[in-house]
Amino acid sequence: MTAPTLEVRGVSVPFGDAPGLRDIGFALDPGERLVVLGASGAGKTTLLRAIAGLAPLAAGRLTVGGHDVTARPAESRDAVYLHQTPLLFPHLSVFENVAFPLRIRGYRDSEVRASVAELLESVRLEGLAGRRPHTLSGGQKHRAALARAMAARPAVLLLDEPLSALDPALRDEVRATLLSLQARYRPAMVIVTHDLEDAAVLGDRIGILLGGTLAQLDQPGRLFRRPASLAVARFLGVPNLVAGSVSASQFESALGPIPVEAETPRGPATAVFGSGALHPDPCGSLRGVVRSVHHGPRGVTLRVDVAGIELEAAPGAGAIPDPGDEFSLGLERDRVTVLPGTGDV
Amino acid sequence: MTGASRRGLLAALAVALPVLVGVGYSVLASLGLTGPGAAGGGAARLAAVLGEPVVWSGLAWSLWVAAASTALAAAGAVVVAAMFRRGARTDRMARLFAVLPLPIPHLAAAVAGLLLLGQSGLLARLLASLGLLESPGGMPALVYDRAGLGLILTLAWKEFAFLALVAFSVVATRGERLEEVARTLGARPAAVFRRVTWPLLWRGLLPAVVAVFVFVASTYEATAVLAPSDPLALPLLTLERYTDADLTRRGDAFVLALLGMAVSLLAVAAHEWARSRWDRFEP
Repeated sequence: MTAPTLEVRGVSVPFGDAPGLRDIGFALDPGERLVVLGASGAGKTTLLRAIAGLAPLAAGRLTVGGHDVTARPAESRDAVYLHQTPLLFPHLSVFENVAFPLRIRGYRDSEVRASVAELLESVRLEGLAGRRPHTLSGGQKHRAALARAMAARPAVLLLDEPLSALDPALRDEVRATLLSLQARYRPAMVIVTHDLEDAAVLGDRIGILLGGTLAQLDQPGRLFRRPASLAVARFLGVPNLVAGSVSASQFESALGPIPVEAETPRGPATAVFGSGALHPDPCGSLRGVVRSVHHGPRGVTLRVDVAGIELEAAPGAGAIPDPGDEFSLGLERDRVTVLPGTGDV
Repeated sequence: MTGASRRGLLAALAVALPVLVGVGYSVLASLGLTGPGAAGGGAARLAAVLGEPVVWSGLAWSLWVAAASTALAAAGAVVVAAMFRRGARTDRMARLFAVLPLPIPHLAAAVAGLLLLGQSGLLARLLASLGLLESPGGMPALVYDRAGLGLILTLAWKEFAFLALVAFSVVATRGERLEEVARTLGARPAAVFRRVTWPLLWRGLLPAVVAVFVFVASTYEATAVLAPSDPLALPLLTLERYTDADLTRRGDAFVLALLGMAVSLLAVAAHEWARSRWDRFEP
């Protein structure tokens, strides 16, 4: 069995005097992308800096390619860290920026030229090799920084909110460059963001950082459909949280009974589901009144009053109802997750 | 041009006006068109003053002192900025100590230099009391000396604080994060300094270094306190001519003032040329 490209085991990182990150653990295979989601101040950047060797660990162990790098300095970890803004060296041309990792490793000039030319071509900057960083556009700077990072041929690439400061068009451009470079050079990636869409697109797996710990680590489909806790569901912005209780083998609430798995704890519980699980259905058992209709970039959603609870629903295939319309709704029970506790639902 | 930009231009002109008037008057006086001894125009005064060896030896001496003290101050600033950059208390204290000389007036610094470095000064007495000198008089001449060592050391100490302040700012605003980038790209500390810290520092410091050089080359107070009378530094020679009992020599001072200004302009032009070379697109 080959060692994971990156293994983070029991890592704790203090924030000043506060406990900070506690007992973080995961492992990445070659070419795997892990997106770490968390609110501002959750410690996402601290986690990346700790892996990169730029922040000290209070406890835990880091391995890269099976080698323990916990005590190694940043320059010996084979993990390149990219800041949120592309920090190109302002005194060097684009060519020399990309050549930087190769020059410090003592590559011959001919090798440097060949390698940099290939990288610049792969990020479509071959015509701008002689330019200074301050003359580049935002997207070009990002692409140059990515090319420079890849020039180091790192085992691990750590990206701190790589897309958050970009407008939508630039976001797509940088995201595409990132994915194509990763497909070509195959580093394992840890990407931190607070953007759910970026996480869904970029992550092979997604980790949710809440309260200093990794609250859930899962594949995107499973994570969004089956949040592991109410806190995770709230963080993911799951729109429908319905309080009830579990007794025998079903969840009881104003929405009616929903079967649950046998191991679900008895007592107060919350049903969690996305708007896609609730939609108009002439045969549906629920009756709802449309309170409002929201038109967004990803389609239309309805705010519907169902048995005194306001829920978010999808409009379905038919005509979009108007506020005040009353109709029947169907709930896809297999898309509902029942979680223990009710919090302040 | 908008009203706001017109008002801005007028404000800038008000600031520049004394300089423009002074330069204009100096040109007229140098050409013998105004002031005591005005002889109705021509380059005779210019030629006469610029033909005096004492002028060129004074200029050379002033440039030597400016170059040496600026280089010492800049080297010190780079060293402390590179060494004391972290948030640790010792580093913060070191940064504070480094900039402490800033509020001290140049004249006070010069007098302190005289009291410390003179052959009957504190340093000479201390060395003599420690048995390192037979007597305070055995101290090598560091003030009024032809090499200008005392003046160079004093000005370097005084200007070091200013350059250190600029260097701290350069490192704090740009250097730290770029150094982190370099480190995770695989650069060891020596390579980080050589390829990132040093290029950033000297580019960031250079405008301040040019300003210090120009200031020191034309500074009067410290030079009057610590410099020798032979060669006579250009600022001292300029004032000597201006206050000469023979009023017809006052025009010489304007020629010397223009010469000093030409040196300053050359230094600024050299800086602008260097900066444009860094910023230009490379083929």
